[in-house]
Amino acid sequence: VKEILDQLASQVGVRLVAFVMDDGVPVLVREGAKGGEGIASTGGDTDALAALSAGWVLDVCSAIAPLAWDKPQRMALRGAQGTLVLRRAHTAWLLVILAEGLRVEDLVLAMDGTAARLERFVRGNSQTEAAARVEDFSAPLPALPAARNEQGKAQSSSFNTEQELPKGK
Amino acid sequence: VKFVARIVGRSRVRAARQRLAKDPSPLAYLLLANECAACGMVRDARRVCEEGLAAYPGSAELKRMAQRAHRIEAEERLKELRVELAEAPRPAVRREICEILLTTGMIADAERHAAEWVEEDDDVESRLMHARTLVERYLSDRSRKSGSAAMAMLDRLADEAPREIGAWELRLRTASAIGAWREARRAAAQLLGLRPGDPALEARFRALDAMSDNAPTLEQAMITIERTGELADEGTDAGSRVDGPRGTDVRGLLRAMAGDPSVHAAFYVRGGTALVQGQTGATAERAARAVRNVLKTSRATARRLGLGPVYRIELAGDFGTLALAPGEMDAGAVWCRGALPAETERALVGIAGLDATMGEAAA
Repeated sequence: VKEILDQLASQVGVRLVAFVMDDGVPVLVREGAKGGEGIASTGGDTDALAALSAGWVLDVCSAIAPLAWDKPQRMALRGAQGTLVLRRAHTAWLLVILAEGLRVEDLVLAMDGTAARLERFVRGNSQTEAAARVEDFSAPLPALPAARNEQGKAQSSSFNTEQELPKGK
Repeated sequence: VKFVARIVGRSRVRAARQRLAKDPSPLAYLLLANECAACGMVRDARRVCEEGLAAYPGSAELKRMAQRAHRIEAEERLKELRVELAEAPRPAVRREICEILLTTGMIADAERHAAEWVEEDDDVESRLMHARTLVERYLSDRSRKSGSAAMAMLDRLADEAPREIGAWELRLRTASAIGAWREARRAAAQLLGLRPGDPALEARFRALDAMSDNAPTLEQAMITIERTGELADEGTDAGSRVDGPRGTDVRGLLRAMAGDPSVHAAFYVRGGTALVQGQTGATAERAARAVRNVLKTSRATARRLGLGPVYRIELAGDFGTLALAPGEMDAGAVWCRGALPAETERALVGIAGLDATMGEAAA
């Protein structure tokens, strides 16, 4: 994910890139060449920036809810001192702060590409986890809890239930 | 090639002038200013913007264009001053640099330069200039953090140079702008001590004295300003402008925008009122309320993030695109299918800052 965000952060005019969860928790933050210190009120505090952005998303979603619109895929807020752009990526948001004077349109393609790569990455991870879970549960559960071997790795019980039970019962 | 380009450019300027004469609107002024700038006639571009702003003072785009033209002119002078500063640094040069940066709206640069000046000289004049840049920044982005920084600097000045008139004037201006009347009264009283017998100041003090009962503290006033985004003296301006002769009927522009087949609806929002074209009845009311709420929440977020005055808000999704162009007191908005067409985008920019009359058919 770091590499994916770094590529976007290296674009001209990008001051900050972050991958932010729906609840406003920043997963990863990358500063652009110009740095994120200019994001005035947050004073470079990316936690505050992510939380405020998530708050904006929530407010906007509740404002458009009566129109039965889905969550926006992209949101942009252009001000005199810079531009905040949010792009939905799977269940999270890709947050980008652009330097003043730069147009959102100049970065739309790069953001779409990054969001698609992030989505693939997140989906790939969740598929691997799901596959691992399916693998674990495909075999019948042992009657006894997993024992730990010398290396501390979990090891399924090697006892045979038939051997454990007294013969004839 | 340059000669041909200049001739073509001038003919475009002429066409834009004729268009402006036929239909004076912020957009027409903007197009003419753009054509002038493209021809290298920066001074003309600035004059056009100033003329446009005299007619439509709320147009954010015209303001930005005027600032840009002014900035190009000022940059020439700044270059000269920077050379002079490198050769022989002195307060007068630093002061002029800060003044130019402030008047051209380059507040961040002015703040940086003033901070450098404070580091170098650390005298009352440099600190006063730094305080001024901080106040300008606060009045521009209206975030509590900027306000606290500005007031902290003014407090420091009051401690170190209690007889500095400029610092008290700055405090009076800031406190009055945000509606902290008790603090403004205190500043006016201090100024009266330094300039006894000034009739204008005495009248101001009496007015502030009458308003200072139950007035919010500085902190409370800053919280209110951050939430509402409206300075105390702006509310009265808005009230006077509604009934002023400047109003423009915006319905025709909205109708033209809504005529585009890709546009679902076009909106013009001012205060608690909205005009909608392209939708009717309860749907129009719901959509207008949504646009107003998006505008309100986005302005508040921009203030908290320190993004400064908002020029553009855009939401894109399965519903299409909702684009808003806020002016100082009003905003235009378009909801369209897919991406925003270039023509509609230009029209949207033209609507913002019209300060139009709303008429009876407001939603």
